[in-house]
Amino acid sequence: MENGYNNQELALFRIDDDCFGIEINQIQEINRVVALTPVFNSSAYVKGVMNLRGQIVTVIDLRTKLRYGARPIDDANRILIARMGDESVGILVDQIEDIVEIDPQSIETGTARIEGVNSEFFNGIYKMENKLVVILNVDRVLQEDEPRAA
Amino acid sequence: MDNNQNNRLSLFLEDSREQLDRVEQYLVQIDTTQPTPETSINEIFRAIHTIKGGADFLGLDVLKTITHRTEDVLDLARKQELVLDTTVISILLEVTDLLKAILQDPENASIDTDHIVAALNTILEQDSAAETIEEPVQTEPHVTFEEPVAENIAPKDRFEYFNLDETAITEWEAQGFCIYICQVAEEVREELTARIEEIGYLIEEEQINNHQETLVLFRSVLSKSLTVRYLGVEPDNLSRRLDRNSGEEKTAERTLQAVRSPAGDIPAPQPEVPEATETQKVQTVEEEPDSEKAYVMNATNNQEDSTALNSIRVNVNLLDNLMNLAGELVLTRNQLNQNVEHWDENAINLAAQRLDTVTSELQESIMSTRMQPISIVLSRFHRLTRDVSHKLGKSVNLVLEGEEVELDKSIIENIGDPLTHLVRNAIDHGIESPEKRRQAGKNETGTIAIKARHEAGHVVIDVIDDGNGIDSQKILAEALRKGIVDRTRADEMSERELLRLIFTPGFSTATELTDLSGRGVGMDVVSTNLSRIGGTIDIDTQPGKGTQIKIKLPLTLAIVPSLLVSVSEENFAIPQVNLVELVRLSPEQSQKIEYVGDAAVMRLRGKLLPVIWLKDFLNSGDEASVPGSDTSNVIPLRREAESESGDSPGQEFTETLNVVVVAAGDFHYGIIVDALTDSEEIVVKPLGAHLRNCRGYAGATILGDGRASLILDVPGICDACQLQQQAEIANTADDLMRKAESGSGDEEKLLVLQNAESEYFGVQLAFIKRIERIRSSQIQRVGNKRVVKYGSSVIRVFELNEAIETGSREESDHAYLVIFPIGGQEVAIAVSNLVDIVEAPEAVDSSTFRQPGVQGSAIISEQITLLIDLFAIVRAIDPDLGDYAPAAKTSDSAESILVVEDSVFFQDKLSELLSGMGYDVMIAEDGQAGWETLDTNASAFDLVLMDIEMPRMDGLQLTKKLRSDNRFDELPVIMLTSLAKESDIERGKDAGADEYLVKMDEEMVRKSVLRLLDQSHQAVA
Repeated sequence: MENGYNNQELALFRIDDDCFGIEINQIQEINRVVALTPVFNSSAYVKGVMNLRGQIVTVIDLRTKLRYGARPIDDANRILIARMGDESVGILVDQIEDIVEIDPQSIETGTARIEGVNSEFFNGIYKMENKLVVILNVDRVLQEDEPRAA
Repeated sequence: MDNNQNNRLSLFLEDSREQLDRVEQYLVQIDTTQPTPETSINEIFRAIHTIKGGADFLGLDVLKTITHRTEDVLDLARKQELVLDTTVISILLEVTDLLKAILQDPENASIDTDHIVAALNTILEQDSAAETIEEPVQTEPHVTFEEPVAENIAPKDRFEYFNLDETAITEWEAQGFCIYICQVAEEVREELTARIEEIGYLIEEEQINNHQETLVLFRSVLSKSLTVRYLGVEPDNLSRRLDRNSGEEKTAERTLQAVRSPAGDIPAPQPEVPEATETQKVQTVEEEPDSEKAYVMNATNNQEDSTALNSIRVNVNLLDNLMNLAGELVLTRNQLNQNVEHWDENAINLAAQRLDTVTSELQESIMSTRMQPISIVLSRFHRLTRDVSHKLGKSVNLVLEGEEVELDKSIIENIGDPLTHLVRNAIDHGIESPEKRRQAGKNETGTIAIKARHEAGHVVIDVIDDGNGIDSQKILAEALRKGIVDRTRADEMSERELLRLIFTPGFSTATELTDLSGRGVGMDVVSTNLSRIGGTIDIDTQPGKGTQIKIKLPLTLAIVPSLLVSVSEENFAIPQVNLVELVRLSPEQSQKIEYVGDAAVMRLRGKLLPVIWLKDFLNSGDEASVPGSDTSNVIPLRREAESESGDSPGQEFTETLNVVVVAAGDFHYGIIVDALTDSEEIVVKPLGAHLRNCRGYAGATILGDGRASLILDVPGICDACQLQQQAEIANTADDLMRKAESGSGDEEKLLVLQNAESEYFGVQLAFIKRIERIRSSQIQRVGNKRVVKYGSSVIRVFELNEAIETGSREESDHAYLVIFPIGGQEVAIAVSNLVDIVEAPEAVDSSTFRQPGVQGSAIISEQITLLIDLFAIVRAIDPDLGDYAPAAKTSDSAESILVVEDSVFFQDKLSELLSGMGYDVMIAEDGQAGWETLDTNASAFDLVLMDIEMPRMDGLQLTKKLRSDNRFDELPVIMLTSLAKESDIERGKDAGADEYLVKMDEEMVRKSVLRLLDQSHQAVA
């Protein structure tokens, strides 16, 4: 960070039992799942569109993107709003866990691997006392030209 | 640069662009009007002068140099020392282009200005000789009373009369003083200076215009308007040093009245410039560049870019009104908040009503700020017309009408290019050369009229030329060459439809696109681009007289009245512009939905309308079914059950169907939805990048309940489903099939087919079960067989040239299947075209073209037509199939009879007779064929009837052969002959025939068949 502290803040969230982190600067806001309108004929990872204060925002299902199985939406689900160029894009996650301050130095890069998932989606891994946090590469996740899942 | 400076710069650039547009118009006007109108020159001079002033102030030196030179040239013209001929005007037009280019990018130093400056200098030098004799070079204003025009002292120029002490002035300005110059008549000078002393300090005076007038330089802390009021002078006569680039100052320059007294009571005879007064009323509202409305034509030309408005002018009254409404809105919100707090339901209702009113008004007002006169686009066509017609050596007069008609800014931005293309086209291809026009008895000068008008909530723009018109046959030839239409289709097309072919995507022709009208953009692109903004285009032409192109546009795009429909609980919006009608089909009317191939069609007022189930369309995306994806995106198929029942027409529906009939351009189709929800005005919002390639959506909107809803892209869905193609198929096939259906039972009718070019075939209609039109690619090869998947079943397809000597089926993207039953299954013969249904011809030549599968030939519609036997053809190709047929029938307990007969006439006669008796009849054309049929399936037949005289193997030989084969010991054989001589009967009996009959004697044939079959049954028993 520019303010002299060398620390980063991470928003931690979960998909199933895996813990992920997004650098908090990359998120604009975190929303409950209100009304998602499904978009038929869209890529499978597009969960739908939502109304974010008058703006139509595409919501990406991180579960699908990372090849986790389907799961019905419940109260715990949250949508992280991130910026992609001029556009706001939502990322649907299972549950928000915490916001933690970490030392970016201790992020291990290149070791993040989840079975069956393209490791491009991850920036690295961070060890916390009791768990491992996979740092998400938001730009890569938001990229729309992902080759179709076969 | 600080903000202020930046702001000034953008104001200047904006304003200068407008000035240049006007200059251009005036130049074109001068070029076409003789003698040169003086007022036009003055207007041009003023505009250029204003730009010069601004450029100087902002330190844009390049601009200043050019404008200065131009001003010099114009000044000569103004003094009538220089004639503005076409050459000079062309140079001046080039100057405006260059200035525009500079204004587009003032920082760009690479723009080449030298040649223009040189050109201007040349003009000046040519004239300098004359000049030196007559008058000294005019950097000094030389003004006399008799020439009020020369009195124009531009406000900035007023300062040039003084040797200003810049440091002092800067200091004064820093202290808050404004520096003014007032131009007064000599006789009131003293009175004025006295007043000036009261409000400020006199700095200097300078006499001008032969001492008739004086310029008074002074400083004061008062604003300009106050100063004007206090001194009692005309605002134009007072220049303020700092506002040389502001609107106020421009007004001063433009109105340029002769200043002979402080009251300015003798206005010079200057024409009103409309903008001059407007400038005082309007303010410039900056707008975000509209990135979503991407410029469809990708114009790279600077000229074109100028219509992409970055800022628009809005009437101050309108702004005031908006401000008021915003105030109202705030008040209403307060009211609502308050009332909600106390939960006063009544008051809340009232506030809600008020909110409704205010919002509607606000919406309307804001929309009207976006409304721009179409003249913004149309005015530049003067220049375009001039340039293009000069280049082509044609003489064209452009007439504009309805320039005041207003359209939404986004539409204005998008019609520029299509219109440009149409005008270029009209000049290039429409208007003839002067000689040709003279020969045709027309005025040598062609006329192109662009007329805009309101019509029923739309704006209609007509582009009319009085040129040569369009040759529809040329269009047709091109369309045929490109494969846009086929010959049969083309023959049915009306003249108008033929013309419309030029709008078909992919029509643009290299031959038609010249450098001028081309730019790689054809009429099809014009049409596509217009339809993208909800517009339509129509064309009408009269050969030799001219062409009229009619463009219809919606007034606005941002807010769209729409129909809301729902499918599986989700709402979708269908823009009302696309809406044609709503049709409700009750379950009893379900037979109105029919199937042609896999495509559903609805019979509406006698015509077939393709329909789609919105549910099916939405689920058709292959990606939604990716494994692991959430199934919530998949709507259960309503036609699940159907995939089993296949495609049986007239399928029953248990619930009422809502069919929304929509129009994609001229093409109509139906969308079947679950329910019609509401009609609402929606605000169109763009979809995100992830959904950009997602077909079927035109955008999204937010409904009253706050949910996002998708807007259906009516033309897009049409394209995605290839509905237009389907409709064509359905309607062509429908015509013939209906003819065929109505003729069913009438065995005398023949269906005429075409396969290879000029090869026609006739098929007895009675044998045909139905006809399908398919894409050629649907015919697949499986092993050595051809099949077509038809619903859930597979149909074998045969080609005529597999069986008979004929050319192979014409290469085409579609084919017709003539489907008929054989042996309990359906098979099809593929042909390239259906031609007609005719009465069976009386004269059949059964010898010339005789071959297996061909019964004979006849002349039908002056074409030699081969009469074919579908069954024989199929059998010839695949004997198994032919043998399979009787076997299936025998199991049905019907006995099978083989008729071995070479005469078509008797084949028909006998098969008619025998099938009338309830037998299955197979035909073999000669003894050889009869033997082959029997040999391959010895037990299939219960009886054989045969002719004696036959090619290849006659009846006697066949009978002997049968009798020598013990498989056929029990097979009764009846010999038939037209000659029943004793000797013949003996020969037949010798050969082993059971009966010997005269063919014509039906009764005898019948009795013998019955008797012999009865005998053989008993023998088996």
